[in-house]
Amino acid sequence: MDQHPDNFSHLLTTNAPLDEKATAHFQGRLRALEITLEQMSFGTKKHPKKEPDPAKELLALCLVCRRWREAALNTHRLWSSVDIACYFSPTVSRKVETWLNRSGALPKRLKILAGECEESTTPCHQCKLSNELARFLAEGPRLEHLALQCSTPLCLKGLLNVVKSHEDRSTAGSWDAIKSLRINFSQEWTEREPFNPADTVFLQLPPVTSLGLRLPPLPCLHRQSTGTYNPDLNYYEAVSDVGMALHIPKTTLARLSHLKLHCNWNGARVIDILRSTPSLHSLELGFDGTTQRFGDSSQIRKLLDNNLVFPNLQILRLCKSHCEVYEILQFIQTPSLLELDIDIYHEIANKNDPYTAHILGLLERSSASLRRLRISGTFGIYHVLGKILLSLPSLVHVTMDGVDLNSSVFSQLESATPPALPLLECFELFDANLDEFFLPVEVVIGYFESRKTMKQADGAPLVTTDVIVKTGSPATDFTISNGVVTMARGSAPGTSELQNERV
Amino acid sequence: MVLLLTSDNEMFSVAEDVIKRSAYIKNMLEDVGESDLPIPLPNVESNVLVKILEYCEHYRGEPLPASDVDPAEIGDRSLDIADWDQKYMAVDQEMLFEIILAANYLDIKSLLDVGCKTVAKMMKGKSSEEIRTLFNIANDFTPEEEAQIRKENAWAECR
Repeated sequence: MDQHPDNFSHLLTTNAPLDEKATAHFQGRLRALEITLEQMSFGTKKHPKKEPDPAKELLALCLVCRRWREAALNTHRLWSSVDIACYFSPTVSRKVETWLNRSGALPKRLKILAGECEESTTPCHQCKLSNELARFLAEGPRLEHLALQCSTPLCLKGLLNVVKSHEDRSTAGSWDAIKSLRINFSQEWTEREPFNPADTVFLQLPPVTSLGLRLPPLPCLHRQSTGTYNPDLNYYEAVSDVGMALHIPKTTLARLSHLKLHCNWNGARVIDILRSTPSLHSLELGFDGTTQRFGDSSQIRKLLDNNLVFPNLQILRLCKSHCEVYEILQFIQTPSLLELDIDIYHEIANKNDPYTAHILGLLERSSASLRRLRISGTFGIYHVLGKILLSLPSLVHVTMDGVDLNSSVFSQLESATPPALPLLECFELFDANLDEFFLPVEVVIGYFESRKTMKQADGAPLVTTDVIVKTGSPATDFTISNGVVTMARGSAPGTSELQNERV
Repeated sequence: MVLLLTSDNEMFSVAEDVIKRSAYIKNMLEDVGESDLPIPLPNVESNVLVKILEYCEHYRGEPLPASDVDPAEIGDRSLDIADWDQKYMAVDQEMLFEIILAANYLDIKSLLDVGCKTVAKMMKGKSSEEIRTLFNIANDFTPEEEAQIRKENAWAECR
C-alpha cells in the first residue's frame, strides 16, 4: 500500500478536501509516475515465457485512470514498437497503424512473427503475408526497424514485389526509409546455383545501416541418409552449402554499421561477406554450433598475411560457436574494440587446442582499449585465462559465465606487477564451480581484499570492484558491493571474518 | 566547488566534477561561468539532494553512455538494475518519487532511468487494479468507458 506521511492519513478515511500541502504531495507523486511513464520503454522484444506481454502491460497502464491514460497516450516512446504474432489482417494493420502513430515522430519498430508459408519454394508462390503487410510497408507509418520471419528468399521476394507495386502508386515509401532490418529465413534457401546475382532478393532491400540475417539451417553431413561417417569431418555438425547462392550486394554491405549473421553455413561464405563490411561498429556471428572452414589452405594463408581490418568495430560477439570457429579471430583486426563476447558451444577443448591462442592473438594484435569481456560455456580456458586478463589492463567489466576457473587464475592476478585490472569496476562469475579443490570462495574474496592495498603506476589506488558470484548454491553465492562482502546464505568456510568488511 | 541552495534553504558545497552529472547544473555553469553565488534549487529539498549527491559521487568519473546504438536495440531496454543502484533505490515510496522528480529537474538521465526502472519493476505484471492499489490511485473511468477502452484494444489479446 501507499506510504503517505502521517498527516495525510485522515484523507483515506474522511471526505476532507485536500489542503495545499496534500495537493502538492499528491500532484508531485502523480507527476513522478507520469515521468516514469514517459521514460518507460517496454520494447518489442518478446520477453521469455512467463514474462508479462509488454503491450498488455501498457494497456493496463492506460486503464489505471484518466490522467494516466492521457499521460500514456501523450508519451510517444511507449507506442514506438509492437510485435505481431498473428495473421496481418486489415483489422490488425489498422490497429498497428494507430498504435505506431501515437509515437509521433519517434523511430518506429515492428516485428512480424506470423506463421510460415507452405509451398514457398515455387516461383509462383504468393507469400501469405503479402497483400496487407505489403500495403503497410509501402504506405504505412515510416519504420526505423523491421523484423520479419519469412520462409524462403522467394517468399520475401513475392512480398517485396507487392510492396513495390504499392509504392508505385504512393509517395510514402515506408519500406525505403527502414534503417534496420532483421530477416529470419526459416525454411529453405531458394537461391541456388547457377544463379544470376541480379535476381537476388537482397537487391530489393532498403539502404539499411543495420542488418540481421538468420539463414535456414543446412543439414549436417554426418546425419545424411548414406549413414557413412567421414573420418576427415569433425564429428560435430559439419555441413555442406555447395550449390547455395548467397549474393548480398557490396553496396549494401559497405553501408552497414551493425551486422548480425546467424547460420551454420560454411565459414568461407562469412569471410566473403565480411570483406565488404569495413564500416562495422558491431558484429555478431553465430554458427549454430557447427564446425567451420574459412577457406582452402591458400585462402587461409592469404587471410593470415592480410587480415581483414575493421577500423571502427567496437563490439564483437561470437554466439554459440564451436571452439574451431575461433580460427576466424586469426584473420581479423579490430583496433577499436571495446567489447568482446565469446560464447563457446560444444566444449571439447583441452589445453592444446589452438582456440585460446586465437583469442589471445586477436587481443594482442588489435585491442589496447577493451573495456568489457564476457566468456561463456567453456571448461578449457582456465590455463590461459590469467594470461588473457593480464594482457587487458583497460578492462572495466568482466563476466565469466559457465567458465571453470581455478585458484591459479587469481594467484596470477594477485601477484602481477603492475597490478592486474586496475580499472575493473565489475566482475561477474556465473554458474561457476566454487569448491575447496578447484576454487575456494575465500580465494576469490581474498583477491578482491588484496586489491585495496595495490597501487597503479601513478600511485593511485585500484578502482573499487563490485563482484557478483552466482554458483547455483546459496552457500557459495556472494556479492561485494562498495567493499562490503555479503554471502547469500550464512558464510562459506573461512570467510566469516571477511563479512561486512570494507574491501 | 559549486554552491547549491535547496528549497529548505540549506547550502551544499559540491565538487564540480561530481555535480556535473546533472546536465542542468553543467549547462548553468557553462553559461554563467565561475561564480561565488549559490545555484538555487527551488524544487529540491536538502534530504533529497543528499541522496542525489550520493549517486553522483558514486558515479564520479564514469563516462556517459555511448550514443552509437544499433537501432534494432533501441526499444529493447531491459529492467535490469545494477546491484549498487538497487541498494541505492531501496528507499520508501516517498523518497523514490522525490528522487525521480529531482533527477528529472536536474536532468540526470542515468539516475532518472534507474528511478523509473525501479517504479516500472513495481508495476510489472500487475493489472490496472493492482497498480491503482499500489499507488493509491482512484479509478475515475465509468464502467462504459473502461469497457470501450478494453474493446478497442482487444486485438492486442490475440497478438
